Order: sequence, then structure tokens, then C-alpha cells
Amino acid sequence: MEELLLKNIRKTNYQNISVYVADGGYQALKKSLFMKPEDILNEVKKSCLTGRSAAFPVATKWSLTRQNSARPKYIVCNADEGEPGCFKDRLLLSRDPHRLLEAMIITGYTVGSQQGYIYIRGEYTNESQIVENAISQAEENGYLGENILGSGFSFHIRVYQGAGSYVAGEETALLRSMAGFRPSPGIRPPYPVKYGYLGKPTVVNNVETLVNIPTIVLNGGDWFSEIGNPDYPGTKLFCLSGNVNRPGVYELPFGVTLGELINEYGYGVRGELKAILPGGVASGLVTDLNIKMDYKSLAKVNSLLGPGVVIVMNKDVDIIAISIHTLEFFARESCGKCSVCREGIRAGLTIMNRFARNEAELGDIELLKTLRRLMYDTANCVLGQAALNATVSAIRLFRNEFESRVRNQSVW
Amino acid sequence: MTAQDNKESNVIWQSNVELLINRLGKERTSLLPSLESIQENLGFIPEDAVNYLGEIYKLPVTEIYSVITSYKMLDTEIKGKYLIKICDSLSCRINQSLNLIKSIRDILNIQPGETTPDNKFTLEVVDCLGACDQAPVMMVNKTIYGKLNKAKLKNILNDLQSKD
Ligand SMILES: Cc1cc2nc3c(=O)[nH]c(=O)nc-3n(C[C@H](O)[C@H](O)[C@H](O)COP(=O)(O)O)c2cc1C
Ligand code: SF4
Ligand code: FES
Repeated sequence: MEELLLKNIRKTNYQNISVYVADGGYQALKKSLFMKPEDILNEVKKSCLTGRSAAFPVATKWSLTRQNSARPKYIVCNADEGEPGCFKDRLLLSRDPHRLLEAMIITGYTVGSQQGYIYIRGEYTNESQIVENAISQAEENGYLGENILGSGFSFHIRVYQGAGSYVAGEETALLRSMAGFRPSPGIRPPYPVKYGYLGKPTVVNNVETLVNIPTIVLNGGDWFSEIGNPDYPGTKLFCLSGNVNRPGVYELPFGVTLGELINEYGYGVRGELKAILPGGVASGLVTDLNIKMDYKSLAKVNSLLGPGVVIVMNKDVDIIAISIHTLEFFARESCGKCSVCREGIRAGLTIMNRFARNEAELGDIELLKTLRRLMYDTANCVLGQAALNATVSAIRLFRNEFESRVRNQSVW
Repeated sequence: MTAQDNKESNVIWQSNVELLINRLGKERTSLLPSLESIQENLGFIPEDAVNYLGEIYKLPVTEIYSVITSYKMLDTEIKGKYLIKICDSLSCRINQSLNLIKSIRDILNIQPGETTPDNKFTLEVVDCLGACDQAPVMMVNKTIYGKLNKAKLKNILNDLQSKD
């Protein structure tokens, strides 16, 4: 299918503003500045674009921010990309940075904000440099800063660098991090659209989400809504990695099957397929290649799409070790605020380590399921809610491997 | 570090923080950038610097430490000249990161979290570096090395060892 998101990443020198402009860059911004903000909002609404990280309708988020009478308002681009297995935003930041800036300026114009921030994960130092350079070029050429292209509209963008924290990618934690506080997720509501950066209305969108905006402005919302899967228009970036012959970022419609993604694009599994994490470490494992990669289809098999992170595992992978590995990740990254998350992950690890040592009790399987239920129902953010997803899905799919590690029942 | 070096780097980090605060303001929103700037200049955040920031932001030092310890890229202890971050997140783990970690431990004779006695190398096992299509992956200072295997790893470390 036609690439909307990756179309520029193979072009040379695209980070240079003159190359970008010669290729039609900043035309969407020019067009926008001649439109009424509510008309742009209407196009975004018609496009049915949803957030590529959290699946929330973009137009709703923007409209709530726009309606709010508090000032100032902020646009924050979430480029924290901390999810293990996720490497798509990096590609867009480093190969097509001006399109992100263009998108943010249009977003600012639409919701009535004059200040944007791009929160880039700390490890992406080269990408931050590329984006900083793009910002300077855009300012020098009048696309960014005071009185953009003589329109009277002013907008500024600043890069905010993270310093290595997964939970900081959660939007309320992200805003706290920017404010100089510990990156710990707040209680929502109030949502950032109402109470965001420094308590002001804030739009938080992922890089991949925003990069769609210039295309929508140029071609119209109706045009966009016809692309790909009618239920979820547009395209999605899938990050494919693990035991697969050709790992990479692939742009495909929602609803593509796992089989197509892995076999046609990834050139097949390396070794014999055991299991797939279709939505990153917070998702549940699946084994069926006919599963469609969209929100509803994955929910039906007790999994989730997340940011589109597909990790393939072959038969050499020990599913108990992998469950422990994901729990250890969450244990390191939990902010520790909710006791159910902090202690629940630890308890999960204690139990799983019993399986690893062949010392588990039969009841441990039920215990893990109960623990997952408790955490899902009561943890404050998705980190805690989803921490045991991989483990419990492993029990469902590979129960015999768990049972075989139960301590030999004593004979009396 | 000699006393002279120490004095000079002190001057550098302080003037950089001052410049930064002039640009971004004295509010708490510039705290993380200040910490990052000191980390970048010195390779860690010394107690002096925390005290200094405490004065500037009018914050208790414990509050500043609680921010520092929330981030894996901020350190309170000095690291080696070459900071080796080897990824052990899922895609890299599946692609044999554990063997590589073992190789590095054997070659440099240090455990994860440790620094060689000559202060040249620090080894850290980290989470996803966002280059999973090239798994297994490590980062040395700001350079990413992908598709690693034992031989490639040995070459890279040898090269670094022969540099001063
Ligand atoms: C633990 C955790 C980590 C997250 N990390 C990221 C991230 O790295 N990047 C991102 O865009 N969203 C991340 N999110 C989702 C954000 O909270 C937020 O919903 C998202 O940035 C909204 O963008 P969208 O509307 O464009 O999807 C994370 C959420 C949680 C709970
Ligand atoms: S669920 Fe975990 S990570 Fe999320 S707020 Fe609670 S303790 Fe923090
Ligand atoms: S899992 Fe190692 S770089 Fe992503």
C-alpha cells in the first residue's frame, strides 16, 4: 500500500529544510494558516485519526483542549519511546523531523497554543540533535517562531530530553518529568486536556500520530478516512523483531494478519514459531498467525495492540524465563506509588521463580491469575494493570510447561 | 582526576548550568535539564552540584536526589571513560544478549554496574535502546553497535582498549 508515514525516510538530506520544502514540505502549514482552526479540527474529526499509542480519537482530545478557557495551552509530542521492542518514532524523528514540526505548529494553531515541546527519550541523543537543528532551520525560515509566515500566529517548539525512565512515557508522568518532578503517573481524571503541563490544558500525542496531520490537512479528512481499514483509517507502523528473518518497521493497514506481517514482510520466523507478543511486553502472548492486528481482534484473544510492537519467539525460547524477564522489567520500572503494583510485581516474581526452580505448588497457577486480576482492577496506571499479562497468557497457552515445573507431589 | 582538573571541570559545569538557567528560567522546569547538563559535563552528579542546585531552586537536597534516582541516565558516582550499555530487553535477549554480557564480563573482568580499576570501562545492562531490528545491541557512550556477535564485540572492545 502507499506509504503515508515512511514515505520520506529513504530520501537523502530530508533533515535539511530546503530539501523538505522543495518536496512540498510546509505546504500543509501554509494551507492551515488560511483555514479557520475549527475547519482544521473538522477535517481531523472526519479523518477518524486515533492516537497511535493509546488509541484515543485525536479530534476529541484537541477539541477538549481548544474549548478550555484556561491559558496558556501546550502541545506536547511524546517521543519517549521506552517500550521494549519499539523503534519506530526514532525513524521518524531522525529521517523526517520537519514533518513533525509542521504537524505540531498546525496542532498549536488549531487548539490555540503557542508553545510546543518534544519530549525525546534520553538515549536518543543523535535524534535530539537532528530535531534541534530542524527547529533552528524552521525558525530561520519563518515557519516557526513569532508571526509565522506573516499570519500573526506565533508558535515555539523546544526539545525536552528524558533521562532514562520507562514510566515517564505515561502522559501524566511525562508532564511531571518536564515540570522537574519525579516521573510518576498521576490519577486521571483530570486528564491533560484539562490539567496538563504546569496545570494548563495540554495536548499529548505520540510522534506517529502527529506525523499524519500534514497529510490530512492537504488531502482532507474524508480522503484519509477511506485509507486502509474502515474501522481504523490510515496506516500503522509495526515494529517487528525477535526471531524473525527480516526485522524492521513496516507500514501496513490495521487488521493485517500476524501471518502476513511475519511471513511476507519479515520473511518468516527464524526457527519454529512458539509465541508472539503482538503489542509489546504489556500485551498477552498469542500463537495464532491468523489473528488480525487491530484493537478489537486482539482484545478478543485477551491481548492488545499497544504501540504496534511485535516480538516473535521460536521454540528455543523458555516461556517461564520470558515471563520472569518481563516481570523483572516492570519491577525495575514501576514508580512504586501503588502498593498493589510495587508489591504485586514482586510477588509475581517470587512465584515465577518457584516455577523456574521446579519448586512451584499447583495452587501457584491460580495465585498468579488472582494476582493479575487484582492488579488489573486496582493499579493506577497501565504499567501495573498489565504487568502480569504476559505471564497469565503464558499459563493459558503453555499450561503444561507450568505444570511440569510443579514440585513433585509428596507420596503420603 | 587531579585537583587542577577538578577545579576546571567545576567551573565548566557551573557556568553551563548558569547559561542554561538564564535561558530556561529559574523555575523547577529547568531542574532536569540542569541535572542532564552536569551529567554530560562530568559524567556524574557530585554532591557539590546537588548542593548548588538546592540553593538555586530553593529545594532540599533530598528532593533533588529523589529526582536523580528516578532516571537511569543520571548517576551520583563517577563512571568509566567508556560507558558500555548492553541491551537485555526482550528482542535482544531472544538474540543471545546473555552470551554477550558474559563475554564482556570475561574480557573486562567486571560485573554489570562495575567500573574497571583503570576507570576506563563501566558496564551497564540496560533496557531497549530502540534499535531492536539490529539486535543484539549495545551503546558505547553515544555510538550504537548492532548485530553483535562475539567476534565483533571483541574487536570493538580491543579498539577501545588500545585508545587511551
Ligand atoms: C507505562 C506507560 C508508558 C508509556 N510510554 C509511552 C511512550 O513511550 N510513548 C508514547 O507515545 N506513549 C506512551 N504511553 C502512552 C501515553 O500515556 C499517552 O497515552 C500517549 O502519549 C498519547 O498519545 P496518542 O494519543 O497519540 O496515542 C505510555 C503509557 C504508559 C502507561
Ligand atoms: S501502577 Fe505502578 S507504575 Fe503505575 S502509578 Fe501505580 S505504582 Fe506507578
Ligand atoms: S530490545 Fe534491545 S534494542 Fe530493543
